Amino acid sequence: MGGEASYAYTVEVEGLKKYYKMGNTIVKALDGINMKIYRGEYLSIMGPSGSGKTTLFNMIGGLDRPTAGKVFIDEVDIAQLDAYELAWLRARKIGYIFQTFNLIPVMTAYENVVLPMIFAGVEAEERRRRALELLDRVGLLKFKDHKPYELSGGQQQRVAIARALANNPAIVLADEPTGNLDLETGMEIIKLLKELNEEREVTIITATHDIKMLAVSDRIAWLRDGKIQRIEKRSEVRFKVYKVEG
Amino acid sequence: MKKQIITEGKIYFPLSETLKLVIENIMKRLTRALLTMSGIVLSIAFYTTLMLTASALKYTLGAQQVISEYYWWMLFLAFLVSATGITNSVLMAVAERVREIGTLKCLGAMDKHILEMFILENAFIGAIGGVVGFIVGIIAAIVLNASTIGISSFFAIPGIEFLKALLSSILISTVLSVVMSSYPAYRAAKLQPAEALRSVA
Repeated sequence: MGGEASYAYTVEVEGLKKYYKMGNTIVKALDGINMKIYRGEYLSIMGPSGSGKTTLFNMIGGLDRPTAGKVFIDEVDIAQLDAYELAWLRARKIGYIFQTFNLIPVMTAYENVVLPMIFAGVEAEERRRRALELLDRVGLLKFKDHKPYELSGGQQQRVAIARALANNPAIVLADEPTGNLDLETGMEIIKLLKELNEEREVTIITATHDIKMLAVSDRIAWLRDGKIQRIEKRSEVRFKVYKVEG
Repeated sequence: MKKQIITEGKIYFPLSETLKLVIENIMKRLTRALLTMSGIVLSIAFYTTLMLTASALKYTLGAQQVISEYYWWMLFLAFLVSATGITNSVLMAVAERVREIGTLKCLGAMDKHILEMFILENAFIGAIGGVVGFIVGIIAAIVLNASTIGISSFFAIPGIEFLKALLSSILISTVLSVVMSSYPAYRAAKLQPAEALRSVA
């Protein structure tokens, strides 16, 4: 996408803060986050619930505005974007995957995958070709005419992954993608995400507390109380089972 | 020079696609649509009954001012109740679909697309409600007046009067529905995606 591909970082976060006011107290959901995310890497943001994972996910994805600090995507400060540019960013630059799948309930699997391509103005024939190819890739071609409620959780998440990739985004953001899935289905989804990360060279950023994710991540950012404790490569992660949090 | 995020292509949501989504939404959430519609149907049926009774009396007896002021006030109240009912019902529909709206925004929908979707949906519901209300109104007019002025008096009404009643029914119901749903639709359009996705609805 574009000529800036030589730039090493696709996401840069600088001094990011998000404070919420709850009554008289201020909750610091994010308290000064700095991180750089390489193009094409698989990064997991790990932390217990309430550590600020989802808030960070929303900030990187341009879904919420920070109290202070900046998020750069391909060197562009996303706080500076107008509504149209922001819609473009969400449609074409970033693909989103959620814990609760968030498929459009009135649409079939196929229509769900096609939808972001409609927003991006992709031609009808190309939409069809890409949607079928993606559904085939995630192994759901024969379920293409099923509605979300006719699919299992794992199948719904596969449709959501196909949808997230429809516009060939540079970044896929996944918020607890395995949170609503059983162990085995969760493993399959993680495996699929890793394969797509390698095949398509798409940057994958997951916010999770699923330790299964450690096995496929290039780097892991440990988040706690709105602060990044450390960012380490997979090879550096040392397991101390009694310290793993969920 | 400021770096641009947009490298190629544009964002748009053609009306034909909005229309498809709107129709599917109405079909799949028929109960909700019917609930919104019911108030419209009743008030339009009342309106049609009054109009046609007035016409029937005018063309058979030559009467001019046959509907008492009392009924016009009743009609006004019926529209008022129906109007607040629409707003209430569309607010509920928006609340039910908050997460879906958040998702659409993540996929590239802009505020105006969400606004368009809800307004169009309710224009449809209003128009259909107008037609159904008109039909119910004719039946009600005939049944209610059968023993007094007789069914035959309705045959005396020229076709153009029916057409006028039908068109004004559709116009009133559509405008009423669009105006009263514009506030909830605006609220839906302004939802922040992060906030919308957080909802547990």
